[in-house]
Amino acid sequence: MGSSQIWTKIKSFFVNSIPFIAILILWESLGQLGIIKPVFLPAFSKVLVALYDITVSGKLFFHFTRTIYRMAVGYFSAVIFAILFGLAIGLSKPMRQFFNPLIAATYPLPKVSLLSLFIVWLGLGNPPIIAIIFASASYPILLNTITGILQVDKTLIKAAENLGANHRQVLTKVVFPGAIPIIFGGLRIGAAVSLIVVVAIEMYIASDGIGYLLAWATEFHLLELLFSLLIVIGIFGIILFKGLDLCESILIPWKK
Amino acid sequence: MKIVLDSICKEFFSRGLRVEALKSISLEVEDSEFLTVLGPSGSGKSTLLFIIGGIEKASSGEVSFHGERRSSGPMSAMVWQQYALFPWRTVKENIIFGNEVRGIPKHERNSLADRFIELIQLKGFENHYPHELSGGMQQRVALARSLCNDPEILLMDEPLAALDAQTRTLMQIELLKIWSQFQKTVVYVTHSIEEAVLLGDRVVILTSRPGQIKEMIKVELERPRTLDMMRSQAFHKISDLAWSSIQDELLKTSSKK
Repeated sequence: MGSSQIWTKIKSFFVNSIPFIAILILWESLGQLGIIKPVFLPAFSKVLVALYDITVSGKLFFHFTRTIYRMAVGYFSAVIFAILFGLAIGLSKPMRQFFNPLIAATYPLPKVSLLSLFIVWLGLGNPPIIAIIFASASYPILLNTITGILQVDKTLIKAAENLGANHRQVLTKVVFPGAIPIIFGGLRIGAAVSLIVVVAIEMYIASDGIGYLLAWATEFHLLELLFSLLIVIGIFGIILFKGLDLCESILIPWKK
Repeated sequence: MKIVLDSICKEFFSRGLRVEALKSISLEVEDSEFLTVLGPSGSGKSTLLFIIGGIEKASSGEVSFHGERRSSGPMSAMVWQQYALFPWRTVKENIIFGNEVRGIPKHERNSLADRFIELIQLKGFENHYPHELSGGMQQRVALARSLCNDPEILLMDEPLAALDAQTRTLMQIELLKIWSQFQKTVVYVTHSIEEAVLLGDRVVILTSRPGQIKEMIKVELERPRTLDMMRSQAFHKISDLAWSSIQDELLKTSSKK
């Protein structure tokens, strides 16, 4: 990387920061000038203090790791299941004919509404939470895998066959790599859905985790804490998506 | 390798209607001949190519090949209009695809790839992905990929149609240079009269749908062909002949639309 490229990156980082800085300045001055009362919106500096407190007390780490654990187990099992199942459906017409109506019927159903049912089936604790993350994240990955397989350029398949590839080689060397960019789009949506779902469900039924802390802060009207948690979730979201960007550039180096 | 087509017919069904694409095409392509196929769009030129290549089946009639197999590769290899390069493979990986799937050992593949990259003058671009190349470069990679598979016959489906006029002209000459080194039998489909005459030993003119052989023109120009020949009297004479033959067919096609 040349020095001019580094300079461009630094510049774009600052340009991207401008809206955040502007909002923070506005936020802080609204509180400091007493325009908005702290019971509605605490000053940003107060939020930072709260964030500092939960960080040094280890509380943030404790709850954050619980959340990450649930999210990771639910998401990664969804990734494995949905990609394998999606490949099977994408590659087989009878499978598609059988499963497509079922998928269409169950996809729009908010998986969170199954919470009570999952509690009856799986008991309290992590299992129903993970099950719902799994169910919610599976759909976008599943649908994108099926679409990814089906949209592979037919000419590329013909070209591979013409060059002597057998059925198995067409699958491994053309269909799978051709489907990866679309599958990756599903992985992205699945990750975002997992984060949304884990926090939302923890607010309902968990006794730890970021969602639990959020519900607790709301109940006792600890707005400083509430805002500091939202900042944590926001930062985690950015890290998550930057991480996915990195995976994508490694996995799909040919992408334009 | 000599190709013999014996009353090839092809029909297919589109929205419940029977469409006749090709009608009793009988034709012999001599060993190491460069045959160009010229016809209005919808005359079944590409279909004819696909039938020779075994990518599609004829409804009736027969394709046979005569002559001694000299190469280790498949009977025929296709060069596609839209290049059909694998976007996830680098230039080098695209070129050796055929050898890879046929189980040629890696060191052999690599030296073959190097030879063909040199041949198409893309040294330094081995590890580029197709989308990083210009259209002309991509089509050179596609040509190398087919040749590297060492087929007896090269089937080309309007391979230069997507290029701008200047690149196209340069590629025509380069294509001839590469072909002269390999002396494969070539069937080359195009809708450009100049291209058909400049490249071909003979030009087959197809009628509009259903495609039938309307005329076979022998191109009496010496090889190697050059761009200067395109300004010669002989070239114009042959082109005019082809043009007058295809003109009625073009009019028929346009009046149908």
